[in-house]
Amino acid sequence: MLRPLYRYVLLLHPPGFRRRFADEMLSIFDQAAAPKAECLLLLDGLCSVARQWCLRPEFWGDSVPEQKYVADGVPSFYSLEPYRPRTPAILHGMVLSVAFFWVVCYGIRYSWAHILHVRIPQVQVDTSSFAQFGQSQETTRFSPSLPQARPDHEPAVAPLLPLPMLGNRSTIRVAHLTNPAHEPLRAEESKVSPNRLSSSAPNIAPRIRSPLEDYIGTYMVHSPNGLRVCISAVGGHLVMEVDGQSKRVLIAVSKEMFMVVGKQQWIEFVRDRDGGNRSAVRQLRLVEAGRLLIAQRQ
Amino acid sequence: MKDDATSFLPLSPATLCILLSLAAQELHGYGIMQEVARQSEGAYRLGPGTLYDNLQKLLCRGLVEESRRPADDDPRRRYYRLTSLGREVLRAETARLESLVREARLRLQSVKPRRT
Repeated sequence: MLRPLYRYVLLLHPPGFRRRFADEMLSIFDQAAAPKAECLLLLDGLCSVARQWCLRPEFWGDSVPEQKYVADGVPSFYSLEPYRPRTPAILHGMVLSVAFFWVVCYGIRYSWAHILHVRIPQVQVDTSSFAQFGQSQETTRFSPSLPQARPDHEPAVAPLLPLPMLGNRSTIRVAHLTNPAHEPLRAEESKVSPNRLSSSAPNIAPRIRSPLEDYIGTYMVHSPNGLRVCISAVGGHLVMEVDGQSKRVLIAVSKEMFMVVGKQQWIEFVRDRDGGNRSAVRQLRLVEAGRLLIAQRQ
Repeated sequence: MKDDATSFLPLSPATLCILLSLAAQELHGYGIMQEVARQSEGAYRLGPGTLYDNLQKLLCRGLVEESRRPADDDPRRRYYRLTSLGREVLRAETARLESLVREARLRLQSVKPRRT
């Protein structure tokens, strides 16, 4: 009758003590024959509960490693110690982990928010020379210091001038394909006064080109009709305009192949080696419904 | 080893009784209680709470270790035995008690009752 009560008393012991000795204490209780002995054991159990909780705080956990034995009597080896850190240590570790995580996240956010600005000396943007004339073209220029003024029909292709600080073989090539604010016009080149060109020439000379500049220009089909194809750049896209037809946007399929939006037409730009590292576009091949038109660049 | 053993001295009566009961053979908890009662001729009885509280301390200090249980015994029982350190501590405590008893006998012999 007192056995369930004694079991309850055993459950009141600290976990480490209970796991290790409760079964054996219950077996001792089962061997007690007389009710008087059971009462004494119950009283002893109550005293043990008070002693363990009040006087043995160091044994509340699993302080004594439990030894395991295998069937042949050879003790097995522990791969890990049955160690459980204290609750305050776990809480402190949790707080430190959260703080460390927050610092790492803040550091990542800080690095994203601050873009490293690399300033290249002696490269100045001459914004006063930027102006728009009707149909804009994709030509980005830094400084009006061109070697010579070119006629309007000539494509805005200028040799890349080396940076003095980088040596003769170094060039800067930047393409602003989507920012309309950085779209100067090819036509404005002719409006730059020669005096200004000559005065600014000693200061700076690099010209930063757009890759679309290679294709911009006027192409003529040698036929009795004299069909003219104008390639320009608007909003970061090449635009084709054929005499008597509306403008069509070209979508790049490869470096040389372009697809005409809205029409079953393909355009291939053919480059001719000019003897140097660069190659210039000299020819345009327009493929439409199995018909091939070849236009030479003017 | 001897310095380590003397650091555990003096032992409490319950600890001394437990080590003494385990000196001859490996015993389980109930066997220790019976052996202590036998050695003291029933004058001193350990309860399970006191026994396992002391056993816990002895296990933690390395004076006692758990040994293999016979296969046909109650699986709830655990057997305990003395370690070499526990035996050394028991030997040191016995020597200390011997010197104490010797000193006590000398004191008692030096004070002889006077004949009137």
